Amino acid sequence: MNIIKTSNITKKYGELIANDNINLTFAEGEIKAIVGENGAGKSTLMNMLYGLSRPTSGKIFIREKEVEFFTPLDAINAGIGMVHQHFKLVPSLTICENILLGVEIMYKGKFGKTPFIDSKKEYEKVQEVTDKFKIDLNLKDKVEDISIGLKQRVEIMKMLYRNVDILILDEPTAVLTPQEVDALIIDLQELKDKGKTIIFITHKMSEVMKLSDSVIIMRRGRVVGDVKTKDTNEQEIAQIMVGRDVLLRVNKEEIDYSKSGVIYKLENISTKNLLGKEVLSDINIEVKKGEILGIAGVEGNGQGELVKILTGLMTSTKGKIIFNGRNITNWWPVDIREAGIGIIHGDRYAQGLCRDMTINENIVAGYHRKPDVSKRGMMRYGEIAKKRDRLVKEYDIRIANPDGNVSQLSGGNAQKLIIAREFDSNPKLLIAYQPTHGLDVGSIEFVHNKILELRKQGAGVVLVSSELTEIMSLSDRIAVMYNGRIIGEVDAHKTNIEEVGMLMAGITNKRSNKI
Amino acid sequence: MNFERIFYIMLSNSAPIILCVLGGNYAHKANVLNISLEGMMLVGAFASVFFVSVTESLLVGALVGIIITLVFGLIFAFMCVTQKGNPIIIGLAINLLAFSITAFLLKVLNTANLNVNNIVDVAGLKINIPLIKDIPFIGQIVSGHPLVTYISFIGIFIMWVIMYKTKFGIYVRVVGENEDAAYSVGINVNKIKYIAILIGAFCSALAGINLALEKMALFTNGMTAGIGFIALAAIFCGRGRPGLSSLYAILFGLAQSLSVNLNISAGPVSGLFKTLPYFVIVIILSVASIIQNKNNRMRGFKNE
Amino acid sequence: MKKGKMFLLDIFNSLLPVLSAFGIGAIIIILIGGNPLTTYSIMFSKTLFNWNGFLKTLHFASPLILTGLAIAITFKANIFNMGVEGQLLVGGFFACVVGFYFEGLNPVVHVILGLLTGITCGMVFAFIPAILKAYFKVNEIVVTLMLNYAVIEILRILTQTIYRDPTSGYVSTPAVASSAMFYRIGGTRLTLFFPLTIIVFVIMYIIFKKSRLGYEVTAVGKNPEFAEASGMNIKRKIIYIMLISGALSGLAGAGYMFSEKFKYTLDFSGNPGLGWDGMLIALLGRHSPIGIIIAAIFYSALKTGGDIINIFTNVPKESVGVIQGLIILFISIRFINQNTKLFGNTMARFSTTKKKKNEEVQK
Repeated sequence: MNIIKTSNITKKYGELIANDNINLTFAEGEIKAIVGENGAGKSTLMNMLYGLSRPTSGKIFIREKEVEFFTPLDAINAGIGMVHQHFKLVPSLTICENILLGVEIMYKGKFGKTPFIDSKKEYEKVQEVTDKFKIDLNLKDKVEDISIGLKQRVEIMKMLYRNVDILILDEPTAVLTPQEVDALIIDLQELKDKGKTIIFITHKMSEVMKLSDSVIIMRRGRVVGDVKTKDTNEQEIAQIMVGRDVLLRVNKEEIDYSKSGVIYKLENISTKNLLGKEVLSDINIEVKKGEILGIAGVEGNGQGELVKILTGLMTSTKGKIIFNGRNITNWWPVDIREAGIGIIHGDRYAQGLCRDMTINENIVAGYHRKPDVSKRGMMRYGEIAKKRDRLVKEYDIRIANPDGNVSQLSGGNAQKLIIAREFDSNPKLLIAYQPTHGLDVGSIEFVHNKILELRKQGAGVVLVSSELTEIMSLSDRIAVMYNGRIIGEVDAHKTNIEEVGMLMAGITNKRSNKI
Repeated sequence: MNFERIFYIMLSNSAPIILCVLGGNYAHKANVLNISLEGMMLVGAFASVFFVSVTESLLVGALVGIIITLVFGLIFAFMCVTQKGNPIIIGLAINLLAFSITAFLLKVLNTANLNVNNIVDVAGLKINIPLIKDIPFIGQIVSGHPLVTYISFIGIFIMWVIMYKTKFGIYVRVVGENEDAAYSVGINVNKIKYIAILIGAFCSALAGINLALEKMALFTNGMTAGIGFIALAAIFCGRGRPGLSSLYAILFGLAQSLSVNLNISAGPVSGLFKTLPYFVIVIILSVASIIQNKNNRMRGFKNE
Repeated sequence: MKKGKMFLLDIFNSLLPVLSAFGIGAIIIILIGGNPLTTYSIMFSKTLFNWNGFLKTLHFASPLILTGLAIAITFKANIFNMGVEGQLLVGGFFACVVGFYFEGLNPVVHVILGLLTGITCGMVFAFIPAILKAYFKVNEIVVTLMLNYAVIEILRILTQTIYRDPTSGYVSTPAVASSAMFYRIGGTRLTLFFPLTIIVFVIMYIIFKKSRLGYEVTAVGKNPEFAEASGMNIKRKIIYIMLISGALSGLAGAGYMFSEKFKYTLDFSGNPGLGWDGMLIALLGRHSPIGIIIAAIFYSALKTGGDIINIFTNVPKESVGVIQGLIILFISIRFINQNTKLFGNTMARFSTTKKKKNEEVQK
């Protein structure tokens, strides 16, 4: 019997179709992996199965009975539990208290329940369940004192205690060390032996092969593959995941770099996140003048942190950054820009622009100390308005009200504004992170052409993107990031999309990659 | 210097602070910034004294005082939790309202202060515990306080039990530390916040009763004199834990009593003791922030 | 949404709490046997529509404009400077010290010296929370609030000891020398302090609308991540803003000292305190600079009017305090976040019911 069946499930957010007519079945006692790039719709789908959101249309069947989930509690009652990427644990409570959150056991007095918690009984009951599933936890420890791997175990236990039969895990290994991943795999196999159905979302091929019985591949809101793991291999999954779209061919001249100087160099750049885990290890890259270096990889492999370091929003724990011969390691953003580096941030409304400020004010952000913008501490709004008019014309930015706020602009035009601003300063190096994210085809073409123009003028470009087609069509060389390292570097003119796709999935061509 | 006297006053002065602290801990743990403890205590003080004078009954007066303070707590909770207003401004408003309404009513009643000494016998309220009062040194310190003072100290234990041994206490901490987790297991976050705020109001009312009714049987304008803010400092320093923050409350109470007593011998400079709580909290907050941010490699100043 | 419409909405959003507060105030007045209409009309006619009364209103509005500004500019950067009261007191106190310490100075020099002292003291006092917030991310609300009480106590001690006026019956410092008093315009209550405040106001306006500092601070307040990514040094901006805020508060205290009080007493700033009045003004007028001036004048009228109604009716002046508290209470609802759109609470409720309806239709 299929324990879960989805029938034409669709989820729309306004115009955006996050899940498009998903028809899936999950067999009982199976471990199923769901893979796909960022934005493919995996989490959206799982959130509906767990009652965190409701489908726009379509039906969900659990054990062949139609169900409607309004809250996670409904899902839990139907036997579905979910372990999220961001744990829902309370740091100062013990593991036992966290597991029993919402279902505490109270002392029973002569007249009925008292408001006091029966700690002893709670420990007994939870210990029963942990013993049953052979999960090793010291129940009296406080959650704030345990490791991330253990925290995840607590989350799993939370669900098991509530007798779920189906366990969904969202990117479970994203925050774990290699040893913790091995331990998790053992735990999950143990659960399967006890008859549980497991669904896990991941983008790591090796996990799929090691653990799952079958795998679903999603792309752009649709299911594009549904195979048994033993019938396939990593390469095939990677290919389906990345897709064989027609490349947006742009006019790219071949340039000979053998005589060009290196304009930008990273030596052994490494850094740690807030929890002390190393998220970037020994990044070494080089960009020559007039060259576009594409940095590919699935979102979450360290690109975000790398860009933050390159743009001065995060510090590195070791390593050097050298620009035009100068050591600019850990420089602040204002100095980076002043040195001649243009920046297109990943999130245009978070870092690139301020929606509630005018177009004038945005068009000089980052360059507001330059003499044509401000003199002796006073802003030259007249000059700024002239600059705005010039750039609007040059870059064909569609504006309804020139004195109005940036919030009036469409995504494409907002991005054009950012590009106009950065390019106008004649940067010698451009750092572009997801420059065409969320844009229409016309805008994408515009952005790409502008980047190529910059290249022709002899500037270097670091293009970080999870859109493989973009990387393929623009880059001269491609470096692929995986797990915080550069896993491989190829010449863009001599490689193909499959080769890069495999690197992105963590597969080097020598041997199957251990995580 | 009469040490017994000093320590006696220390216990006596600490009681209202401890009460405010015990009540305010809940809002703190639930992540609601409640700066209106001062105002609520003032309301409790006034209302209880007023209704004692009206009903001529100590018990009824105290009870009505508590109820009225709870109403103020309800207003705060409604504006803050349901209407999602800014707690700082609402707290400020309540403090101002408490002060101005009480001043207004005193004016309307045409008196400078509200005196119910004819109904309430302050000396008679002091409980002289039979055996303990005869113990040398300690006896003079511990015995002879009015009822609510003793309640405040017993309350430390009671509040500790509630905070750590009951379902409600756990839920308050969950709501404060991880609201998402609370929602995900079906906890009614708003209800918990309401109750936390009301407990604060209740305890502040008791503090007001202790301050005005029990010890002096009268009310004057602004008699709370910043105790509510010292309590706030103690809550922050003790991070919302009943035991630790009460300790700070006693420490600050000692500082206060020293400032009063040394006044006679050392002059007004002893008032510096009164500033102690405020400097302590600034230091502790700074240290806590430094420790919290030491691992932070991010330069961003994201919205708090 | 057009600018004109937004402007009207702003006014509406500020007016509504005020009217509600007056409404409830009216009920209270009726309950104690007074007549709200006559009370209110006396309150405002004698302070706004009477020439001498109006000048007096302007006179008392001077420090309020400054404290209102002091808080409003920190709001722009999403900071809550709750220490305006303390900074004002410190400014006033030490200006007073300068006022009575020196004698026989040229009046212009003496006043300027005192004002500068006040400004400096306000800045120094604002510096500590500024550094703590900028470099250690300590919550400035609690720190400034607590330091307020500390400083009130310290100043009290100073007034009772070192700087005490032995001839006075109550706790007070000696009065400032006559050379340290602001020149009274035309024999009225109004002093040069008022035009000074207006000048300061205009300067602040220019700084915020036209200068690079104003630009950067606005960015920091609206989107700190964007500000950082655009290369603005947020730490420094926070410190600058707090220092300016402290300077304005100190100036308010010093000016008030030299134009009205002339000596430091324990109720120098009145009840609840000019700093807290400034909070109200900043909340009422925060969306436009003119709003602050209007709010300050209105509030000054309210306060001075409150003193008068006592004479003409049997409504006590404490009722003004009640109305003030109510205004702050009602205004708190829509002041959720500096960056939210300007719809009042009723609008927000509207949109959620609409959403619910849509969801039901979809089923």
